[in-house]
Formats: sequence, structure tokens, C-alpha cells
Amino acid sequence: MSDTLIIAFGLVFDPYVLGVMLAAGAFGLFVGAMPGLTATLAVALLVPITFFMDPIPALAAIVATTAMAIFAGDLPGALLRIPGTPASAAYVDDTHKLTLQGKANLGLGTALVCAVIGGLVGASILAFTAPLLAEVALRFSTQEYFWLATFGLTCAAFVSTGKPVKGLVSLLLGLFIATIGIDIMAGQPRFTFGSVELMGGVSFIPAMIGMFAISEVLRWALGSTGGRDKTKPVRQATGAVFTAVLPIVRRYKIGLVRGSLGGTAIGILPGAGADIAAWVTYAISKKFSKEPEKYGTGHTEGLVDASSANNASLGGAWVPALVFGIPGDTITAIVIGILYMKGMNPGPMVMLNQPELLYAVFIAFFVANLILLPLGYIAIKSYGQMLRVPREVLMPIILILCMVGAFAINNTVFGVTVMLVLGIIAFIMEENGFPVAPAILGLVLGTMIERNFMQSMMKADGNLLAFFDRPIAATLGVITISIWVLVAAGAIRRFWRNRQSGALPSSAE
Amino acid sequence: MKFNDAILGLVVLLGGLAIILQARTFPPTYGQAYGPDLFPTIIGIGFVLSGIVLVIGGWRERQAVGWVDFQGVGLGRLVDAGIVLLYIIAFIFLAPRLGFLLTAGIGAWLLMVRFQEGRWLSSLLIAAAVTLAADWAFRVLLLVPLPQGWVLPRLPW
Repeated sequence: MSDTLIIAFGLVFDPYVLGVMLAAGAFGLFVGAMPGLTATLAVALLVPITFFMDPIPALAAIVATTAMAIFAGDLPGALLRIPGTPASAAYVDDTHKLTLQGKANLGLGTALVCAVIGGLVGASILAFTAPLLAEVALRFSTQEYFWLATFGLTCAAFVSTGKPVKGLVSLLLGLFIATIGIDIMAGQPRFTFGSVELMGGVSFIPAMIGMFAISEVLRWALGSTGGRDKTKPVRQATGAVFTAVLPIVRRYKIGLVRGSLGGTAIGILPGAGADIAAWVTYAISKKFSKEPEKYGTGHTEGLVDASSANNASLGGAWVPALVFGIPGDTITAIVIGILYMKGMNPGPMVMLNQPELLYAVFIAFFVANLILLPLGYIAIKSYGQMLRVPREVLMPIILILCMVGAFAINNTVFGVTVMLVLGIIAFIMEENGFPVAPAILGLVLGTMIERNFMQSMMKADGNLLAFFDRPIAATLGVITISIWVLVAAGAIRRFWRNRQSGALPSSAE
Repeated sequence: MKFNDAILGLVVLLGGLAIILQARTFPPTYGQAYGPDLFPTIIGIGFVLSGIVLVIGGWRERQAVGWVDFQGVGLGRLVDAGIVLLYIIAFIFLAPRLGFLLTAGIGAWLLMVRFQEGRWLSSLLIAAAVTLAADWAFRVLLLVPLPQGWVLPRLPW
């Protein structure tokens, strides 16, 4: 254990890895700070480059990028009232009103300090729970993995906002794309329509770039992100960044703990990421607050809860990813895709075979959150300059990076075609209220689910009860099926109620 | 661009049917009761059921929502989105012939000129610098064989 820890320290505290983390962190800050460019987009643009790195610097780069991007989303939220990433949307009114009162740096300093603390709490929980859970996970068989993955995907489809059926369609789309190519069990080509390039399946990275980056550029071009109206003047942040923060953090320390723990827990839940963590903890904070009427008017209390929660959820999301190979959010879904490509099977076996890799990820989390402090400070101070880069120039540059990245994975323009097709599909989906995250989770987990399902079916000789003959599998199975029954029952009840209330339009929910 | 759920539901429904029909053509695995068609068939059934739910829901709110809503997107913005798509399509077809530098560079330049309403010189400089930087990073550093094409000579680095 201590030997592994020393090796892991050596792996992370390597000048190359630290340099990569610093560069990735600066990149994450920039992308997150641009309104309309999300943390996931930052990762999507980064992945083609990490493809050429060793696992440790690749994972460390992603950890650093996301931690910075989630914080950086608070910058345009405070100064322009446009959340830079969806994770900052929950408290954008508070930070912006603080700016209008001339206290921009108080709001941003609080957000920064809470993000660092939340991130460290999330990382600690990750470091302590992952090894313990991995021991449990070692006893899992195909049935447990099938149910675990199904449970994860179920949460992903139904936790997401909007109509559950739209989450389900998104999930099925991801699972379907995963079946394209040579079938793993029988070697039968499926849905390839004679195309040699489709035989190897739809490559995950071009698909992901399309779904997160191309759809984003299209949305910007059509003007739906709001970034194309130049009427809003940039307010320069003023005041000291850190001095006034300490009393606030001390006053709302319960909120800080509540936000950090709540955020981590929501991050662990499959399908729920930083944005949901921020919304939920903001609402909880308001509920328990002595002065809930101040929320949304430039009050720092909810900001403490929610800005620690969205960064804490990042660490939480890695728990199921590293222990079971089941991603907790879109970013860890991308991470799992990368690990598979590097020939590693994420899951408890990594803990046995390459424990140093896991410990290195934990250490990378701590390092990333510590360098967030100085980098975040610089970003707050230089934000005005950052916003001078016009989006009109940035978008074509992003397109070049997308095309090179999609090309580079298999060295063919077919990757660019995959990127284009999935980008258009993801754009139409998001415009119409279909969440994209379940599709990417389905795409990553599809092969694994099908393999475990088929193996369990063959072992059981078609007897479906065999999926419940082991205690953990039975529990997971019952929980998963209960969620499905509850969602279906809710939908049917709504349907009947609407029918009885006559021919009124049914958008009452 | 918002469609009525019934339209998208119909697409989902037909897609599900197509998947089921296609899966029926997969040969069974010898000696096994379950072949490569089982999982796609389950997905297809899921698509069909979800599609039915969407069609019913969309049909019932057709008066309130309408069929297609362009949400006030003007022609100029549609053209913007169109040339983004055109740029990627042009890259797919032209990059193997004209090479990465010409295709990506000229495309990005035209896009910048269009988005910035003029400023062709600064756009040209930025597009050229970015394309050369991307070429250097991916072709030289990461050893990705970016398409060379037959127009430009090979760069000395």
C-alpha cells in the first residue's frame, strides 16, 4: 500500500505530468470561461491529444481540465449573467447581483475558495471509498455487472431533466450505436451495410466530439446560446479576491460541508453530474437557511453550498467509474472510453493489477484542486482580456480542432463523417429536449452490457430468474426494476388524469 | 428548431422497426439459443414503444405546440449553420485530394470572414496561423498522417 503510494506520487510529481496538468488547467479555465463552451466540450477537444499520451498524464490532464472549467464557468456568470457551464447556472443570479453591487471579486473569491474545498472533499471521499468498494466489486459476476450497468443507465435516462421517455430514447440510441460493427459474441457484422469502416464499430472519440462540440458550434451559429448578441458590456471585476472570503466561509461552514458532501454523493449517482449537484444543493441550502428570501439577490450562502457541490461532484463521479467501470457523468464516460482504448478494463481488476494508477488519479485530483487556487486567481484578474477573443474567430478554430481530432483516431476522414452525423443528431436532440448524456453513456457501456447480458443468458440457459439468484444481483435488479415500474406508473397516471380533465393540452406537468 | 414530439416519435418508431427487421437477417449462432440478433431486437422494441409514447403525447398537444417551430431563427443564421456543415462536408471530400492545409485553412478563413462580416485580412492571418499550428501539433508532434494532397509541396518541417 505505502509502496504503491510512493510509486503513485512519483508518477504524478513528474515534471512532464505536472506540466501537462498546468497546460490542461489553463486550457480548461479558458474554455469554461467562454460563455456557451462547457466543461464537457473542453474534455472533448482535449481527448484526441490525450489519445497519444500515457494513461497517467492523460487522466491527470482530464482531471485538471474539468476542475478548472467548472470553476471558470462562474466567471461569465458573475460578470455577464451568462453561466459559462451549466453547472454555474444555479447561482448565477447571486453572483451577478453581487457584481452589480460592486462586489464581483467577493462573489468570485467565495466561489473559488469553495470550489477548491469542495474539490478536495470530493477527492478525499474518492480516495477512501474507491479501494473499499473495489474489494466488494471483486466478488461480482456477470449478473451483478449487468444489473449495475443497467442501474447506471436507468438513472442516467430518468434522472436527467425533461420527459423520461426522451431520456430513454437517448439511451437506446447510444446502445444501438454500440451494436454497430462486428458482434463480440458471434463475430457477425451488424448494421454495417457492407461498409468496411463500420465493421470496426463507431469510434467513440469522433462520436463524442460530434455530440458535444459540433452540436455546440451549430447551436452557436443559429444563435440559440445567446453568445452572439454583443450588447452586454463586460463588467470589470473589482476588489480584493480573498480577504473578505474567510468570514463568509466561517459563517457558512455548515453549508460548505453540506454542499461538499451532497455534491460528492450526487456525483457518485450515475447520470447526475455537476449541474444537478449545484441545483440540488442550492435548493437544500435555501430550505435550511434562516433567510431564504435573500437567495437570488446577491446572497453568498447558497453560493457556498452550490459552488462547493459542483466541484465536489467531479470527484464523486469517478467512484463508480474507477470501481465498477460505470461512469457517474458524461466526463467519466469519456474517461472510461479512453481507458478501454488504452487496453485497460476499468473496474475492480485495475485495483488489483495497477493500484498505482488509481492512487495517481487520487493524487492528481488533489494537485488539480490546489493549482486551481492560483490559476483561478489569475483568471479572475485577467478575465476582461480573456473575453476579448471573439467567438466569431474561436468557433472556426474549434471546428479545425474537432476535424483534426476526429481524423487522428483512425487516420481516416471516416472519423470526420461519424463526427458530423452524430453532431447533427445531438443538435436536433438537444433542441427538442432529448438529453445527450444518456446516449454517450449507452455508447460507452453498450458493449459491456451486451456481453454480460449474453453471458448471463447463456449461463442461465434462458432462465430469466438466474439474473436474481445471487443476493447482490437480486437487490440491484429489484431496485432497477422498481425505478422502471415507478416511472411507467407515473406516466400512465398522468395520461389518465389528462384524459379525465378533458381535451385540455397535456403540457400541464 | 423544434419539432412536434409526434414527428420525432414517428422517426424513432420507424427506426426501431428497421432495426428489428434488419436484426432478423442475422444468422443464429450454432448451438446457442441466443444469437447476435437478441440485443438489437430488444433495443428495437424499446424504440418502438418509446416512439408510440412520443407520437401519442405529441398528437395530443398538436394544437398548443404546432408541428415545427423555427423559434425566430432568421435566414442569416440558417446560412451560418449551413456553411458550418458545408465546411465539414467539404473537408471530408476534399481533404484527401487538396490536403489538410488548404481545405481546413481556406474553409476556416471563409467562415471567419462570414461570421465577422468582413475583416478578410486579419481572418486570413488567423486562419493561416491556426491551420499551420494544428498541422504542426498533430502531424509533427503527434505523428498523425494528415492528408497531404497533391497541390501544395510537403512542408520542410
